[in-house]
This record gives sequence, C-alpha cells and structure tokens, in this order.
Amino acid sequence: MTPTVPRQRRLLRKALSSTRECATLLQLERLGEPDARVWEHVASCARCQAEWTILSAFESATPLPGEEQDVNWISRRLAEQFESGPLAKARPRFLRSLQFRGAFGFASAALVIVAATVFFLREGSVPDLKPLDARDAYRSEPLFSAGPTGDQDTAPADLRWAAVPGAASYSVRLMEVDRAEVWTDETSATVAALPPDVLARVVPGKPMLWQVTAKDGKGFAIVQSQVQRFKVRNKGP
Amino acid sequence: MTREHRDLDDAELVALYLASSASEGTAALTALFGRHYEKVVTWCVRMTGNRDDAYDLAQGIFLRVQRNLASFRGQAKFTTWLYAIVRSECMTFLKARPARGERAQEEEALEVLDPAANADDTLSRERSVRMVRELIDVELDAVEKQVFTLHYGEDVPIASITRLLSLQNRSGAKAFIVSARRKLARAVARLRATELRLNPLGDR
Repeated sequence: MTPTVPRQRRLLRKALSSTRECATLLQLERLGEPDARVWEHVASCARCQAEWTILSAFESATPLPGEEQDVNWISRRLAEQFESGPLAKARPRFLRSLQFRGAFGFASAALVIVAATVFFLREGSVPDLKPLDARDAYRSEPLFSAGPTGDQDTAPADLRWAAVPGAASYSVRLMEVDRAEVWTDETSATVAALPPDVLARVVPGKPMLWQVTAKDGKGFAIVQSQVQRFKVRNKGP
Repeated sequence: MTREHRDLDDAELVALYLASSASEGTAALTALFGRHYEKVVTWCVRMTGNRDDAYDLAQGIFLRVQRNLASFRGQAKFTTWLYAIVRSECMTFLKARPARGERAQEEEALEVLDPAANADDTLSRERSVRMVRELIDVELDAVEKQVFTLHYGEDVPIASITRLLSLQNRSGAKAFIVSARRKLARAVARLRATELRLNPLGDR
C-alpha cells in the first residue's frame, strides 16, 4: 500500500459522504412522483443515485438459488422466535448448533449448562437470560392513559386522557387507519368533544386512531400518548 | 396470519400492534414481520456471506424494529423505515468486523484520485473533494457509482458488494472498482495537464 492511500481514501470517503443537499430516504422513496423536488440534486450526486438504487435493491431483494437454503433456515427461526410472543435473546452460537435428544441428550444438555455457567462465571459475564417483555420492549415513548380504546358500542362523544404534570395545553388528532387526519383540536382541558360532522365519519366497523400530545406553556411538545385505536362495533342483523 | 391481517397494509399492522393487547399485538407483529423476513434475511446473507452472522444480524434488526415501532410515523413506507434500520445495523456489523479479526482483505493501493495531491490547505482539500465528487458523477457508470459509494463511502467489503448488488461477472465488484479507478485516473491526468497548460509555473 502506498503512503498516500490513507489520504486518498479519506478524500474519497468525504467525496462520497452525504451532504446537506443530499436526499433523505423519504425523498428518495418519492423520487418517482411527479412533484419530487430533489431530482435536480440526485441527477448530479453519485451518492444519492447509489443510495436510491440500493434502496430499490433492498425492497425487491429475493434470494438467489444459492441463498435460498440459508434464507429459509434463518426466516423459519426468526418466525418461531417472534411468534412465541415475548422475545427471548438469542442463544449463544455454540448452543444453537447442538441438538439434544433422549436421556443422553438430557445429560449432555445438563453438562453443557453446567459448563456454560462455569464459563460465564469465570469470565465475570453473566448472560442476561431474562426474556424481554414484548409490551415493554417497544414502548420507548412515554405513555399516559387515554380513552376510548378498543371496541365501542356507540361512537364516543369525546376523547379523554389523564392530565400530564407541567402541560399547559393538549393537541389531539383523530385519524383514519392509514393515518389520514380526520380532525384536530387544541385544548387546555383533558377532554375534547368530537363535533357532529366528525362523529358522522365514525361509522360502525371502521377503525379510528387518535393521539394526544401534551405541550408546555411555550407550545413545545413534552409528551405524546401512544396511538390509540377504537372501533364502533357492527350492529347485529 | 388471519384474513384480517392479510387485508391490512404495513402501517395498519403497526398501528394495530401498538394499540392491541399482548396476544393481538403478537399476531399483528407476526403478520408484519412475516412479510419482510425474506427481504431482510436475504440482505443479511449477502452482507455477511455466512449463515450464522446473517442470523445474528437479522435477529438484531428485527429486535430493533420491534423496540422502535412506536416511532414509525407512517410518513415513509414501512419498507423505507425498515431499510433505515437495516442499513444502520449492517454498518454497525461491518464496523465490528475488524475487531473480530475479519478485516476486509481486498484492500488495494489507490494510485490516483487526488487532483490537489500536494495541497495542505483546507481550501485546496475542499476543492479536491468537490472535484472528485464531480468526476465520480461524470466519469463513472451507474454500477461503478454504487460500488464506489458502498466501498469507499461506507467501507463495505468488495465481496459483500458483489452479493448485495447481485453482480454476476467473474470478479464481481472488484472489476468495477478497477475500471472506475482507471477512469478517474485518466480524468485526473487530463485535469492536471489542463491546469499545467493554463498555469505552467504551477502556483496554486
């Protein structure tokens, strides 16, 4: 390797890194739309062109004949893991390849567990065997209780939520299931009445989503509820 | 997957997952992930080149997706949002490889490419970056740009690029690196010759 390589590699890295003008993934996704505004930049940016092609390659990725076996094997195992509900952490690779059957298998398994315990204790690194709770795992946003949720006998007259300490106002959004906004409201109360024309759109069997954002005195969001979902039950015949 | 789940698009499944009880949520998550295992796992197999690493990588990706579903706003397609996570996890995986003694072996000398090779001041370096950017855009074809961006911009090993872009030629991405470097070397030589004609004393 020549001494100039690190310098030239740095130069190339900088030339190929994204700039402030580069398109976001969202903009690249919409590049095919008639009003895409980033075409001018993308047309002269190798990085954006490459990123767009690679995004498209990802979206259409299907295994080639030589990859099918591995892809199917991994997909099956992932499906088993996630279908079982709360997600456990991966087994260490050396355990993954072992099959335990019958009495001999039981003894082998016990031996491996003892050996693994000794190994991890000696290493001072105890594996975290506590399964993650699926409901806790994804709730990264603060949550405050709000209703209605779930199936309702009649269209709810209002949306209600618990007061958030420090909140001066609340912004509430009612959406259809594709997140198209149906109605919004700003209020300092912890309830927002649905106007008649909005209620008319809450028809039996149609799921609706809603979300409330608590804001401070300057109007900055301080906490947001999870997206709530409700549906008015279909009436019987 | 229930019929109800089949009729929902990805964003609806995410919304259902977030708003449902634990068991219903798991069913929605299963349906959602089931649509994307093949695509993500294929990508991981191509990135890593072996089943065990691909499994670990894919598992990490879906765990992160599960933990962050609440941040999916539905502005982008779910696959675009998913790709952002896949991309980030793949880069983390690649960064960890040298620590495991698996540094890419295809490092080769770069003999060219710095139009202002002797320049030390920031202005000239910025000029070099701009010129290289323009040269890459003008001189290279689409595949060469993709290979260059992945290899030099993101440090993706050549073997992974060959698999990711499904390049079928015998030497894969390496051939595109070589041809791109030649093109850039010629372009830089032309530039230098032009500069020399315009400025024979060579003062910058």
